[in-house]
Amino acid sequence: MKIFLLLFTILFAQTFLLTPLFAQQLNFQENTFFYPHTYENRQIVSSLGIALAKLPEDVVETDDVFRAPLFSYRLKYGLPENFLAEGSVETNIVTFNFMLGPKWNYQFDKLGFSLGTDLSFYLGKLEQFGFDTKFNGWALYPNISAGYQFEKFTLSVKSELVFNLAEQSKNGESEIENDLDFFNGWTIGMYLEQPFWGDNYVVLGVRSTFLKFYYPMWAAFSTFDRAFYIPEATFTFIF
Amino acid sequence: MQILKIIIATVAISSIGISQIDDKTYSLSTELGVGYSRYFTTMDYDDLNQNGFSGTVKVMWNPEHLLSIGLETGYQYLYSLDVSDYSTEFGNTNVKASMYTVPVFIVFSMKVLPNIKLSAGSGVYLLFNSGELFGDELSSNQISIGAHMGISYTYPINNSMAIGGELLYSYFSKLQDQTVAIQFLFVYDFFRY
Amino acid sequence: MKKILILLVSLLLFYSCNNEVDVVTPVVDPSGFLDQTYPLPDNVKPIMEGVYEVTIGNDLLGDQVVVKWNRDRLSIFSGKNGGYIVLNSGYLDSVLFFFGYWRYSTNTETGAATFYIPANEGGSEILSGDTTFNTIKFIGNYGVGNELAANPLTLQYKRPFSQSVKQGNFDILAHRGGGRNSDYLGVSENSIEMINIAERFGTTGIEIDARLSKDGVPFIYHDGDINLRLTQKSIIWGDIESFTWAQLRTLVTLRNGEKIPSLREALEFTLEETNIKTVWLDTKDVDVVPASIELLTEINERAVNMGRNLKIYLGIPAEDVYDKFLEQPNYQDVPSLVELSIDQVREANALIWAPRWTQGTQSSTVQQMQADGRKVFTWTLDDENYIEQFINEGQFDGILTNYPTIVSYYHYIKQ
Repeated sequence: MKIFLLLFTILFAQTFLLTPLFAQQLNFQENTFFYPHTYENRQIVSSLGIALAKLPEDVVETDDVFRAPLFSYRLKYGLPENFLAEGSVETNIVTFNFMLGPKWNYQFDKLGFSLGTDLSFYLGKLEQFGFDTKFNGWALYPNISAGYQFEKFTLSVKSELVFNLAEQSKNGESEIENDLDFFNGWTIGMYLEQPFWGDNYVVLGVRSTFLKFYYPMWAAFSTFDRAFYIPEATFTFIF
Repeated sequence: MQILKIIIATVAISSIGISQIDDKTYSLSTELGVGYSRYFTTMDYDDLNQNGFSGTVKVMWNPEHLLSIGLETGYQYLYSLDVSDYSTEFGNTNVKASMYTVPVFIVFSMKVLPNIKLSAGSGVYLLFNSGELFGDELSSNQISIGAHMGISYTYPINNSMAIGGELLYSYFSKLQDQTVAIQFLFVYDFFRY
Repeated sequence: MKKILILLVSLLLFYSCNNEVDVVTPVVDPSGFLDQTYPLPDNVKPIMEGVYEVTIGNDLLGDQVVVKWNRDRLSIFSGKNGGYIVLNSGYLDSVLFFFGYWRYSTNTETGAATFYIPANEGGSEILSGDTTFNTIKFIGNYGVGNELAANPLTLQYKRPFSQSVKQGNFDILAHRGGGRNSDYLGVSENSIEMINIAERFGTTGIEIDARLSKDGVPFIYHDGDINLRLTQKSIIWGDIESFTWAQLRTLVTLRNGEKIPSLREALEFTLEETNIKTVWLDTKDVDVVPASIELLTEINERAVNMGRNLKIYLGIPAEDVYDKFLEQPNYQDVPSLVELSIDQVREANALIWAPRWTQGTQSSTVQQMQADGRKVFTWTLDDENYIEQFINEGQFDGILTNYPTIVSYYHYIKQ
């Protein structure tokens, strides 16, 4: 792991020092999604992504990562005074997560910042494999982002706190309100955005989550009272 | 520390580098790598041989920007063990076991300098286990998810070919072990448009 | 500045990134005091059983607990985080002494626990076998982690178990021999060592998983492959049933250092060394069905001959196993447990129907099965809220769980 870290750090540092070699003007204000630039009023940027997570073996009892990729559609809509609204829907077929929230972005030249919060409503339904189960809940994601625009790409970091608001489940005719701790955990992600071919921009991202309850694996009904590290790799198209 | 020196040296050489030809040409290339692999494990066997051959074959699509995408396969030796007169509850026996892997990966690479690329890939490793114990053959295959990260330096030898080297770190989820490989690299742009 | 930012981000992303858990082993009876005491006679142990009020130490245990003896330990089950205490015991001069540890089931918090029952708080009466005495007081202390037990903890007898609990035949079934590896109990799932401690969690029955080696030896192991969830690192990997028994025993070690048990070893241990009364012998591969039937028939007969209250049921979890079962001679005479439809339960003449808990309590269907003279177990129920609801509102004859301590608590406090 240390070798991995060294390699990663040194090369990224080198990259940023020498990026002027690749001087070419690209329009990041219109084509990036995670980079927290300011938005024109009514400007829209949307993205379509796929995320693969390495779920904790203690919960899912397998090291299979491809079981439930998360597909996501996200949209940002520019508002006056550097505000914007972001909405998204994520799904792994048996689960849907809808998020909506305001953000305030500010840019110092190539350095952008964002503060915001998202309200999440998630619901799941499973009626195969011996399940007769429905599930839904609410969560809050206060978040902060920072990003820098290099000559040929942008690099952004986004971190969230995750709070559980409410959750209930129904199995057959049995229904309960789940007891979840209010503070669920936190996440941090790093997103590299750049043109892939022509004017088509993509995002390569890694996101680390440290959560007691990770909503896509609700059907495991985890009862562990401890936070798990769940890494996600994401690939996103921007349009 | 040795790895740190290698990385610094590689980056330094590249900084002198050849100037970037930033055209609008797309290409398909094949990258062949052969070299040495070292398996790092917490398994506790004195006679475990952890050094072996590593080879990769990549086919990459290279658009005009920094990012490329492709598929990778290859062969990587992981370990072997050959112990005589091993004591067990069933009596003494000879133990032979070995493991190699074939990756089937999607790989992204990014030109971070004119001649240097960072790469990251993920997919599955097909693990092949064989050996012998108590006169019975050991033979099994398994699939593990995995990932690797690498850095490569290539030097063009003509318009469509380049040679260089690659340092590759690989992680095998099923084994929770890793390898570091150093490979000689041959790159050939076989199609441009 | 940029480089520092990148370094920090990289550090954040790539460090602290594993889910390994370390559970401390509490220091229990460091001076060896219990060695100087006399073992409690078996006939006086039930006198202590019942529901107790926690008068001091509610932070650890909540307001009430269940005190219940098992084969060799006194166990205390609480309603907080699935908390429980397991105690070894002895007496000296009409005072009863207890040393052990507490643990929360749902996380890794643990520590030492000690109690005594003074002569004038029930000690004398218990030792004299006085079953009418009902003001027993456990006075003790607990520690956190490796601390010595120094925080006060007192339990006051509140009431006996209800008649329905005492007279009922409810099965508290522990998953994988007693618990999963992910619960970090110090011993491995599906091992002899796990079966040995299962009763301390309130277990009256166990579920174990049968497979067949390449050379035809049935053994217990859950997954289809050798993997690090279940085993330590080994030089062999792959489909576990592609190896001979000698290869598995020689080269594979379970997660906490135990050897994989053969099915015979596991069932004989259960028969001879425990008071477990129900074994759910789950079938993880169709090929093991004939060998499992042969062995469970033999052990069930030995149990009858020994006067031992033990019954082993062949678990039938899937259609392919069901079909294989129906191919066996006299299959309707084999005690079996079917997880499929109630029609298939009837066709197989299974003694137990076992629906997944996620189907709900299904009380009317459960009653239909019970009217046929069959039992109904549900699996694998771990959520505390649902456990409480299923025990109080369901009609099940047993619950399979990874947390028998939680099921025990809600079962024994039931009025």
